[in-house]
Amino acid sequence: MKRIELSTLGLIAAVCVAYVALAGVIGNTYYQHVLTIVAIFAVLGLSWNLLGGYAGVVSFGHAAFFGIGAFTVTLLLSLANVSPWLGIPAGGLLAALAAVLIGLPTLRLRGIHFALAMLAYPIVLRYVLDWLRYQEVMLPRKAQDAAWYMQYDDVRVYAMLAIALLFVSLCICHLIENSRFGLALRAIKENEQAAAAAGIDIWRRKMVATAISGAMAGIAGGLYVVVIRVAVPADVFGLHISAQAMVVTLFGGVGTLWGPLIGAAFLIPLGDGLHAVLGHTIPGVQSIVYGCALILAIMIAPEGLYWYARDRIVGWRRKGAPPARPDRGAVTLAIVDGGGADLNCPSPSATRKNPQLLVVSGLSKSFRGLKAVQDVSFVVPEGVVFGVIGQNGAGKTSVFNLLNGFIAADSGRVTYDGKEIAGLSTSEISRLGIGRTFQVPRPFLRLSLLDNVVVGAISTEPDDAAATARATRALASVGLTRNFDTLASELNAVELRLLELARALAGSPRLVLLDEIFAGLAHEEIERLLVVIKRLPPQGVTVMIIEHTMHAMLKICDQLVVLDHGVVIASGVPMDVISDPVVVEAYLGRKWMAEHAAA
Amino acid sequence: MLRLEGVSAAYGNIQALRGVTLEVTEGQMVAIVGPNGAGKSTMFKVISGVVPAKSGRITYEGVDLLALDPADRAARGIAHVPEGRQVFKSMTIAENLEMGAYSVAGRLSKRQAVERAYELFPVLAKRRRDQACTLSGGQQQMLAIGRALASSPRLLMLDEPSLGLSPMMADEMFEHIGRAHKVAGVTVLLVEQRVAESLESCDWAFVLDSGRITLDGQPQTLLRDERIRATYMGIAAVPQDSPGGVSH
Repeated sequence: MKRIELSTLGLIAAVCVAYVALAGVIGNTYYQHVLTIVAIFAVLGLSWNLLGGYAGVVSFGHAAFFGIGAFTVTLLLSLANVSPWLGIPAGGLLAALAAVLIGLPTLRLRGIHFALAMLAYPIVLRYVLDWLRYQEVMLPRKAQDAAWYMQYDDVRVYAMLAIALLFVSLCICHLIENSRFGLALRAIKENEQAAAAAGIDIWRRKMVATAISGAMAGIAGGLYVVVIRVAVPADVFGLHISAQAMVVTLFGGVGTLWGPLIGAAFLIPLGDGLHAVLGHTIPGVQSIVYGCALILAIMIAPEGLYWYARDRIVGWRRKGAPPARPDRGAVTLAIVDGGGADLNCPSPSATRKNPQLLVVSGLSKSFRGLKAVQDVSFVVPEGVVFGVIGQNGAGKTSVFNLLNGFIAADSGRVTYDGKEIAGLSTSEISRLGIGRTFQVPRPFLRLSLLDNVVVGAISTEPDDAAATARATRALASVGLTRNFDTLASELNAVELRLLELARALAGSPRLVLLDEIFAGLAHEEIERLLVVIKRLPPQGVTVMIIEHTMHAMLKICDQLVVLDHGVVIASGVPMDVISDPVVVEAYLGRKWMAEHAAA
Repeated sequence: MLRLEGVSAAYGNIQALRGVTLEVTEGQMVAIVGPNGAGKSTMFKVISGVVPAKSGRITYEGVDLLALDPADRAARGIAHVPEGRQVFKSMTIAENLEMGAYSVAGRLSKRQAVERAYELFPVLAKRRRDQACTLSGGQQQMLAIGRALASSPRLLMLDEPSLGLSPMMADEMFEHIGRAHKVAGVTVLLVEQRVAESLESCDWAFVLDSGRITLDGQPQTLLRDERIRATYMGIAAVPQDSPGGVSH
């Protein structure tokens, strides 16, 4: 998480002042109008970007919110004589409400439900208004109190209003971008399951983002109708508005603060200019030229102009300088003798250990007839390393998925620290103090190393600075000492494993579930990680671990449970378990026993 | 059969291979050993064509391999099983195996090729109509190898085939690979973290470190090498080391 950058706020102010100056200097009314519309569509783009760019929730129908804002202003003014000064905020509120209504049923479901519902939303609203015979509503002229009704003779005033709205919207987006809320959104976009496992309430965050986005789009629509003075459902709820919201953002730079403004500044004048120049001679040709320009831009800068320009500038700066990234071959795990620093966050119960921290009884789960987990029961006391072993496909990962709420059990009970947790969501379970890592690491690739770990801390730590401090400690405790700004996509296999462990630990869990954390690691790396894990129970973190690297398991585990075809076939202290003939037959194999019997 | 001469490759600024030279004789089983980040996976990717070589030459059965695109290399019998269970998740197990037999190199009929994979991995036969995403991690690994074998390859490159497998399953996997090697006469290149096991079953081994071949020889020779034992195998993996891995 970054602090709010004063420099960025300053830049926003400077850009807006320059914009105002430009609008003030230009005398031509038509250009004035274009400047106003650019700012309005930049705000619409920012609204779309908040959902699509940061949270990864794509909307094909932002015209729904835009149109609601526009018609709220129009109808309040023409029917109830209410000023747009009140109508625009009312439109924003209504649009936010509309966003919540559409989000309630669709955002809980994974996949494209929200996108599809959004496609239909503006179309439905448009035809409802047509049916109500509001096919074309002119804003009534007010001779008296024109300023109160936002009717100005000087079109520059509209430009100023639009720029003011743009300024506020940019500031809001910047604040969100750098807040824990923004970080959570980006984590959700990168990997929803990992975000949930880090304790982030996915649905709630998405709903909030949708509501804010809806409000921004509604306000933009309200101002738009004041500027053009006529509301037409086919226009304000039209597909071109929804497309514009997306296109200015994608063209300018998706997921960036400046992208929507850059996109609007290029595309709106281009589209409007083409319409004015070519529209009369060959009707329709402007759309073709516009489309071709768009295709060309996307081919040259697929991630948007902002990223294209940024990569170029960074490239120029780097030229001549030695490569910023260290040689991959030289990257090593920097664990100082015997492991890193202490976590230094003993849980309140560290002194009083719960002998029944996790109690699993009669847990069962079938996948379409395949009995993955059958009547599994075991007890994990606090302060141990508890190993789960078993053949591939024996149901080990399924047990972890049941424990942290990724899948729901068919029957059985899970009690954690005396509390029934079966049926709770992943993020709730995570916030209760159960962290986990994944068989195949699930980092947030486009977030920095530090931000990845901060995501793990924010759901249980209300203070930003404390969350960052906790993340830093977690990184130190696993011994991951690379530059904190390194993107997760640049890390190697070992570092990704450590990153996940640090992310799980940053939530101050009392229990962590480690799923094949040694897979793919070389012997030396395993030895180092063993030291790190061994230090967890004394610091108040109980460990459950799935692993096939038996020599590591024997070194580290206090207790083992063996699964076979979803059933517990043995449990107890490691030495007893591995000499159990049933376990040898089902899991270790005679060859392994022959080789390791001496040990 | 396969010869690499001064092959280099890089990802942007990061140099992954720095002039690798090695030769593999037909019918051999060859282990590549080295620390993480040494360039083992990159070497496989350069041979199969997923990653372009920056310089150097690769000859395969007398043909300049770098002049061919990846699909042509597969058609000539080079099968690459990348690290990490790359299967077609929404296809059934049978369909996955048929995709392996899709290659021109497949000299067996589709059914024969698929049946052979089932013989090697009976657990796949039991679940042939299930989608690959319903398999456990280890079973997906078997499916990936089974798919490669279904293409009747002449050169099989396996990147960490035992990753995430239980000890018994890993032993079985090594046996399967050994059998495929012997029965079908496939030349095998093997990258493994389980160094002891992979050295045990191979005819020749190369040590790759920081993008260069630093050592090669017969496995018995390498097994006696102090540095290899200390660096890559750890204490527990060496049989003659008394009381096992528990001590430090």
